[in-house]
Amino acid sequence: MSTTDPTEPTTFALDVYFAAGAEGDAKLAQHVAACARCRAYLGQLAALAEEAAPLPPTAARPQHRKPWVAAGAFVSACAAVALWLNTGDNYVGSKGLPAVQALIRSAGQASVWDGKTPLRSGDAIALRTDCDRFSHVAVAIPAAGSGDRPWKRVFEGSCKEHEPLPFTLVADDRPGNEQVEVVFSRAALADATLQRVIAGRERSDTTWVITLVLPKAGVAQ
Amino acid sequence: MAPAAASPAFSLAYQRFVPPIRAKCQRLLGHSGEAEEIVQETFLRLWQADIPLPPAAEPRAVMAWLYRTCTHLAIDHLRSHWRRTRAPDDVLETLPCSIKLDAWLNTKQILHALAVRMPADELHAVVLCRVDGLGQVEAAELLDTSERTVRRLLAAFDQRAENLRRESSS
Repeated sequence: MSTTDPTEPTTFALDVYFAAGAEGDAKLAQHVAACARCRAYLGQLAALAEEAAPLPPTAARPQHRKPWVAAGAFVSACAAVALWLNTGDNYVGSKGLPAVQALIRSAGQASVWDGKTPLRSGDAIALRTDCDRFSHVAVAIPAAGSGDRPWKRVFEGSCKEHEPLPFTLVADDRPGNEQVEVVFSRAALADATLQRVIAGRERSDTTWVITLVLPKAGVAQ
Repeated sequence: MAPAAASPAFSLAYQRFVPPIRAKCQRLLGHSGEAEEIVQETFLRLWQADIPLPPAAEPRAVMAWLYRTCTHLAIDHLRSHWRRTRAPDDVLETLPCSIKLDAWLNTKQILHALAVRMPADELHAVVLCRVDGLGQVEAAELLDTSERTVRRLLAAFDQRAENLRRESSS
């Protein structure tokens, strides 16, 4: 019994052709042009490419770090030990509330944050969200100099269930904890509104703030 | 704290290699959450392995690595999560012409019945050649074995399938 015809390009050959940008193999291209099934297969791959989570734009400053976002959805692989935060304390998420999961990459090892292990300078943090009823999510970190706008928005976009947010944060070597505010909302928030809901730690039907406080190792608190 | 970004090489690799690997997982497991978990785990391992990526590496070499890893994960899944209900065969309309549909469906049916009883190397060969539609030379290359060994593994599977058919009809 055989499922393949040796005279036709194999699936593997088509996959390599697709990954190489559909170029470099004239014989295969000629076959695809004449074969409806192989065209349908490559069309399916193109459609799957559009479904893939977009990768983040270039960072504001160069970072030679591992790409958490590209690999981001791998958080699901750690689901068995997933720690969801929705109160700022350790909390195993329940249905009906938005939640945030933090994944830490430290010294080459990635793990779901356990809610207490201190960060080290240079550790990278990725976030994944459970959106519940909210369609948008914004992430803010303390702004330098504070003033009347103490929070700097580092991300805002659609909230996609269980998908990683398209950026990473890197712990610095300054004293104090790292703090991240994750704001779920039903629509995009103006900056003034964002500042207000974070200040009030609002939790309502329209906005929901989750504060992550991550301690840092070897730094005077 | 500051935002960081993906490396350009990994970003490009992710865009180009995820669709074929997702399609491969769906051939075995249908459009399912399990298939997607295996895709994500495969790319987690790629990220951790830190192997050369295009343009520093040939796409074929990266695809071979992904195929190997993904097949290994899918087989582990098949053997440890055997279910009474078969994974859906919902990718029929997009299988390339090198895969013959009747034989493909038959293989999947037999795999569902026998996967937990089959040796891992035989499962690898069957998934690559009979589900994914690779040639025996390609499968041998991916499995780092000889074409003869692949033929032997496939023959063992065919014998197993024949025995199953006899058991069913008796």
